[in-house]
Amino acid sequence: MSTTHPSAETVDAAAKSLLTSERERFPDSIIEINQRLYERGWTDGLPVIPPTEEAVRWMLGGTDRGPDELIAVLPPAQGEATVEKIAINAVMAGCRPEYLPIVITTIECVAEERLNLYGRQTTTHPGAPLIIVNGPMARELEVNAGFNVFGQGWRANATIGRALRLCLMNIGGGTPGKTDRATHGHPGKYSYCIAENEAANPWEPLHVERGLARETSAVTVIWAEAPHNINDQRNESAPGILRTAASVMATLGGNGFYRQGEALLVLSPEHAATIAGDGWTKDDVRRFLFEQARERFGRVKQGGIFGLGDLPRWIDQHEVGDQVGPPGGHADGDVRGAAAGGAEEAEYFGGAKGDVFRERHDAAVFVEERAGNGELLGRSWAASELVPGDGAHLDDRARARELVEPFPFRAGAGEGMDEKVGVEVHAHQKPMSSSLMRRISASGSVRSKS
Amino acid sequence: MPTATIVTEAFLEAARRQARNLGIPGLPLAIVEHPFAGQARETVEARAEQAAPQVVTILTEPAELLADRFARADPAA
Repeated sequence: MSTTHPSAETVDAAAKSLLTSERERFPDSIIEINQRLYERGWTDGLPVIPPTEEAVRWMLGGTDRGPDELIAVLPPAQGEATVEKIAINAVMAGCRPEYLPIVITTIECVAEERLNLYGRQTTTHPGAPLIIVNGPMARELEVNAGFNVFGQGWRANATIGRALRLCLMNIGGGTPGKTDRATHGHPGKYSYCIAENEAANPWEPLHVERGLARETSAVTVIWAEAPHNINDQRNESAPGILRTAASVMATLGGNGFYRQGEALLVLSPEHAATIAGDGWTKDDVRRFLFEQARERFGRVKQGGIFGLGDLPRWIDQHEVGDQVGPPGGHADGDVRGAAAGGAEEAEYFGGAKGDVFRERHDAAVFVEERAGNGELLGRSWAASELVPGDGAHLDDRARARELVEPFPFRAGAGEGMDEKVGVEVHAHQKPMSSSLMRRISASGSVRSKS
Repeated sequence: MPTATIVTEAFLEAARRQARNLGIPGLPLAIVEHPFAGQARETVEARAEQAAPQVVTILTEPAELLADRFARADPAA
């Protein structure tokens, strides 16, 4: 007597056949189809691959998950991001099925409560979800981590980021000018996806630093502004290069200058090699930037969003002339006066509860390469790792810092500094330039179940 | 608890859409001119004067009446 229970394969096949989305007949013209989809607001403005049932089934071949599995509910429309709906948008974006597990994982990432997706989707701020792929899958799928890493030319980078954007629009209801109130937005809102060049990274890869195995594939999502180039072809030492980076970080127009928010530093392999060659760790980099990415308080008061809300406690507002006593004074008179540090980054999860997590300097160290296979990321920035507080502990730390030797830091000099920081170093097009993204509002990393 | 939500005209559609998405299509809204942020004191005071009588109405009228009226005021509700 044969079993009365269907095999797992049969169940899977049956589940996969149950596509529940409405069907609609369109003219047999890709031009006309695209015109109609565009007019409905279902695209990002660029042509899409029509999500026919055949194409959606092809896409679903990239995951073992059933099409009806609910991955997340996306605000502000509170749309249900099922595997089927995600697959439809992945088809439209031009993904291959092998990318689908990464796309699904990005949805898990952005839905993490701490990322405050509701606020991210509706804010006037020009942020976009930056997807960072680590591990063997990044290499196997050829997610670019090298030349033109933020630019065009690689299908995985171009379509994974685009699929997330289409999901945020079509499932989450983030409609530009309507619910998505971004004043300017930035080009990364079309697609914003990179990989880390782990082979050229002198330090630990991002996902390893956050507690995952090197052979685990991982996705980290950070809500970030557009990248700003850091061109330094003069310096041959860690402090020289990083002073240039700190200068780019500390500008009056940056939200993170007056409030919380991380900064993500993406280093070219050459810069990373120089910095690591001086014996600096990622923590040394973070700490240096925390100290150096500052501005005179007299200048801080002249612009930006000064006066709107309380300043972070780590900004010393005790003016001396037009300067301020440094929260963590050190030998460099040019920077000691002052105030806000763009490098500082207590994460600012957007507002609902007003919880602020401080003192997480960020810079990320990546490096370049191509492409790999395995699982995606796993919540390495758990809320429990964050340090909520009023910043009082920083005062003590600042005083203690005065006793520390001037730069360069030695291993251990950063001891006690909060770990939350993400300094990624990263690969880049111009060998001697790195880049910075300010105002990173949140991030989440999730291990894929696919 | 009676609550009045103040929005500027530029955010009115976004506010209505989000209220609908959250299941409260008749959310009472006190509407003022845009912009509000980064304005001179006189402008901000003018906005406050615009908002004040609306806020009083929203805080004192019966909730059912308000829900009905604001739902009807929303073309998409």
